[in-house]
Amino acid sequence: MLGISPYALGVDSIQRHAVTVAGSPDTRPLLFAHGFGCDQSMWAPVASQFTDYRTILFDLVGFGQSDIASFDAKKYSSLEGHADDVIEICHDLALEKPVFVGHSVSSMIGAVASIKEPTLFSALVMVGPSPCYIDEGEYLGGFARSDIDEMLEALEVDFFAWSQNMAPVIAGNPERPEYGEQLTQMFCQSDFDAARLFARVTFMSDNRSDLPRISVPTLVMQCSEDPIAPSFVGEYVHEEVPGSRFVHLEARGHTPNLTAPRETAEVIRAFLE
Amino acid sequence: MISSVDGTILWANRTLADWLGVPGQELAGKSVHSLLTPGGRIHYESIVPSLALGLPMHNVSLDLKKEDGLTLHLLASTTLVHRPPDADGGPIPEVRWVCIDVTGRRSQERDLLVSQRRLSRLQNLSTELVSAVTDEEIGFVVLAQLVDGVKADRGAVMTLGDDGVRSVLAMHSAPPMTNPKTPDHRLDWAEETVQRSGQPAFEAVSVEGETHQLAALPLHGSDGLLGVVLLELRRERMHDEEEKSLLLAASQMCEQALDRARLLNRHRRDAQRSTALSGLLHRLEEETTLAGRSQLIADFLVPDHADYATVEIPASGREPIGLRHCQPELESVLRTLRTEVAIRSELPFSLAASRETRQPQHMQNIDPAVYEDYGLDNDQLEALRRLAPHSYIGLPLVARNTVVGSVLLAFSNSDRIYEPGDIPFYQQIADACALSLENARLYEHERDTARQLQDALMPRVSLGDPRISVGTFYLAGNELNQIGGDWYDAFMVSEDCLGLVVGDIVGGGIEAATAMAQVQTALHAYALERGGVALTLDKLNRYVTTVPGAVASSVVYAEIDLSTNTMAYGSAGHPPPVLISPGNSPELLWGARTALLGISDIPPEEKVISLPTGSTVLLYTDGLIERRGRTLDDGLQSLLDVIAENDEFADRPELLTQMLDSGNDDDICLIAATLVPTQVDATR
Repeated sequence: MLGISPYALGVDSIQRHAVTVAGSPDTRPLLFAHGFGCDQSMWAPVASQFTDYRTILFDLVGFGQSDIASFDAKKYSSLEGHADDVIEICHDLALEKPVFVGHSVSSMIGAVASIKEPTLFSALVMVGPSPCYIDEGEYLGGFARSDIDEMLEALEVDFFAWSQNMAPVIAGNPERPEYGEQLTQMFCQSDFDAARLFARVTFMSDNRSDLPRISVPTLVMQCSEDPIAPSFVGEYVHEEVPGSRFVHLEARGHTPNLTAPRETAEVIRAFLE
Repeated sequence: MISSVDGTILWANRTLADWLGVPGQELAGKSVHSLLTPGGRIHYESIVPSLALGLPMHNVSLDLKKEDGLTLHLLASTTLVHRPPDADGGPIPEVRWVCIDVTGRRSQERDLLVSQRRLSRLQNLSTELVSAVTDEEIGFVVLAQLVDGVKADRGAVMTLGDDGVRSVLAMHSAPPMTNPKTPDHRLDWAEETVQRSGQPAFEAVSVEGETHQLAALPLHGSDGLLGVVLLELRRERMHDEEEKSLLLAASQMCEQALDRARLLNRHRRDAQRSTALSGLLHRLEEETTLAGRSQLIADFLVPDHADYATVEIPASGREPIGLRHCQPELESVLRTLRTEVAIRSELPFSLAASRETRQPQHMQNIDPAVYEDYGLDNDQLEALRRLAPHSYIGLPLVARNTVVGSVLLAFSNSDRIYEPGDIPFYQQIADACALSLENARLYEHERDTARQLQDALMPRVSLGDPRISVGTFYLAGNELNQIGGDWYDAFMVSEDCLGLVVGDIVGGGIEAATAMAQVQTALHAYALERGGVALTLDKLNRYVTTVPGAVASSVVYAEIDLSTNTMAYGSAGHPPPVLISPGNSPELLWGARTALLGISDIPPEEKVISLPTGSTVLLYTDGLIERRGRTLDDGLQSLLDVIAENDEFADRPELLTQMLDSGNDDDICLIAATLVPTQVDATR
C-alpha cells in the first residue's frame, strides 16, 4: 500500500488536515474521521483492512499533525466548522461519492456535512454516535450537565497541572524535546485551546434535530458497554435516522476501531457490500 | 494497578484498595469504568485511544469514586507492556498504572487554576477595554466578562447622571430580565444600595421560591459615583472570595475605563468647541455690521448647538436682529413671537430676565403643558406650540460691563437637552460675541455720528447770483469703509468774487469730520479777509498744523472774479481742476501747485486765467479719478474723455460719476461752476 504524500497534492485542505490517502483511485473512497481525544492513527487498524478501497485518513484541525495555525476559535465553535472542512477535503480530492466513516463526535460531523451537501456521500457509518450527551427532559444522553463540567475541569486541571510541572522542565531542557512531545501524546493534539474548545463543542452540542434530515444510507454501530454512548443513545439515533441500519457490536468500550478493528471492519464491509 | 486495554482490572495493590476503601481482592475483575465518576469516565475515554495505541501517559487525572461516596483524585502514569503469550495465542497487552493520590493537591490546583482563569479574564477585559471608547462599549465588554466569569443569569451596567438620570449601558438576561427602558426593581435596588453606602453589596433574595444572589458594585469616578454594576445568579451559595475579587477588580477596571472615556470625551468636546468658537470669532471679524454679526452668531448656533436661536439687542429694536431656525418655515413664527414677548421679563423663558440679572437663564426640560401658564394670547400660544421648545438657555451679552443684548438657544425638534454643565461653554460664546457685537455697535454709532456731522457740514450752496451757476455733489463711499474727509464749499468773497473750494482730509471717522469742519471754517474766514488765493492758502497752510488730523490734507481753492471773468486758483497737493470752455477740449489746470497742507513753509502761489463766457470750472476729489489698478494719469484722461463727450454735467455733476466707472470705495466730492451768459453781459 502506497501512501501519497499530502504535500505533493499541494491543496490547502490536504495540508491543513495532514490527509493520508491509500489505495487505487479507481476504487470506492472511504473517508475516516477520528473522534475526540485522538487523531487519524485511531483508524489505521481498520483502514488497513480495506486494501480494495481507496482510504482517506485525516486529522481534525487542532489534532494530530493538522496545521494548528488554521485553528480559528470562531469557526470551530460549532461542529459545522469541522463539517465544512470535511466537505472541502472531499472536493479538493475530487472524491467520487465517498463513504463517510465517523467515530463518536465525527459521526455528527458527517451528519452535518451530509445535510449541508446531500449528494456528497454515498453512505454514512456512525461508530458510537451520540447526538446529545446531556439528559434533557425525556431524552437520555447518559450524562448530567455537571458531569460534563467535571470532565472539562479534569481536562483543564490535567493540562494546568502538567504545564505547572513540566513547563520549567521543558524550558530548562531544550535538548530534550521529548518532554514537549509528551504533551502531544497525552492529549493527542498539540494545542490545548483547540482541545478544550473541541471538548466543549463535542459534549455540549445537541444535534438531535439533524438526524431525521439525513438522506443517505446510514449504519449505526453500537458498542457493548459503551461508557460514552450507551445503547439507548445508539438506538435513539437508529430510530431518528430514516432507514438506518443498526448493528450491535460485541466489542466493549467506546473505541472498537482500536480494541476490535477486525469486527469493526467486517461490519462496515458487510454494510457496504 | 494492572489492567487490560479495555479497562478490566487484572491486579491492584492494597494501597489503591485502601484509598478506595474496599478490600483489595474485590478490585480484580472489575472494570475501571465502574470506579470512575461520570465526568471521569468521559475523560478516561478520551485517553483510552492513547492507551490502546501504546503511548505512555504521564500524570493524567483519574477521578475514582470511593466507597464512602467521595471522589479520589489520582494522577496516573501508564505504560503498555506485552505479557508473554498464553498457550493459545500471541502476546497479551496490558496496561500498568502508577497512581499518586492528589486529592489534597487537586483542590490547591483548582484554586490555582481558578486564580489563573481570573487573571486571564482580567487580562482579556483589560485588552478589550483598550478599544472600548464609548460608555456603551465599556459597559458591554465588562458585563460580558463578568456574566461569563461568574455564570450570572442576569446583569446590567448603568451610569448615574448628575441629574439622577440612570442610563443602562449594557444588559444581559437569560431569560430576558426586562425592557431596558422600563425601571426594574433590581436596578433600583442596586442604585439605592450603592448611593447609600458607596460600597459593594451582596445580598441573597428569594424569587419565586428560588434563592438568587445579587451583587451591586459601585463604579466610582474621579468626580464621584459614576454608576453601578448589577449581577444576579440563580443559585444557593453566595459569591466566594475568588468571585468577589474578580467582580471587584473588573468593576475597578470598568470605572477607570469610564472615567478615562469621560475625560477623553470632555477633552475632545472642549477641543471641538474651542475650534468652533475661534472659527466663529474669525468670521465675525470679517463682518462689520451689527446685524451681520448677529446673524452670523445665530447661524453658528443652529443646528449644532440649538434647533433655533435668536440674538436680541434692544437698542436695535424689539425684533431679533439675528435669528435662525433649523426649519426655515418657522422663522417668521419665531420672529413674530420673539418680537411680541421681547421685553416680558416675567416669562420663564425670558431673555429680558437674562439681561436684567446678567445671569444665564436655563430650563432643562420644559413640559409643553406649562406653555399655557405663560400668559400668552391665543396666537402667541399657538406660535409657541409650533416652536415647541423643550430645553432652553437664555444668555446675557455683556461687554465692557455693559449689557448689549441677549441670546436665546432652544431645542425643539431634536431630543437634545441643555444640561447645567453646558452653560459655561455657551456663556463663553456669548461673552466673546458680546464684545464683537459691542464693537460693531460702537463702530456703527461712530460712523452714523460722523455721517451726520459730515452731512451737516456740506453746505447747501445757494448764491443767488445770476452770473454764475454752481452745482455740487457728494457721494459717500462704500459703507464698509470709514467716513472720508472730502469736503467742499462755495461762497461769495465779495460782491463780484466767488470762492470755490474742494478739500480732502486724510483719515476718517469723527476725527476727520471734526478736522474738516475746522479747516472749512478757517478757509472761509481767511478768504473773507480778501487777501486773495495765495494768501488764503498760506494762512490755511499754517493753520492746519494746529488742528489734529488736518496736516497733509489737500485742498484746491479758486476765486472767480465775475466782473472780469478771470479765475485765480491754487492747489495744495490736490488733483487739478478742469476748465471746460465752449469749443475747446477740456483742460487740466496744473498751475500754482504746492505741497500738501502743513508740510512745507514754502508760500503757496496762485495762477490767474481768464474764463470765457459759458465755460465751466470743475473741482473734485480724488475719489472721482482714482480706481484700484489704474494710474492717476489714466484716471485723469478718462475724466477728460468723458467730459469731452458730454456737456450736461455742469448743472448735474452727479452724472459724471455715472459716466465714469462706478465701483468707487472712496467718497466723491464735486463742485462745478459755470459762467452764465447773461443779457447784462450781452449788453455790455
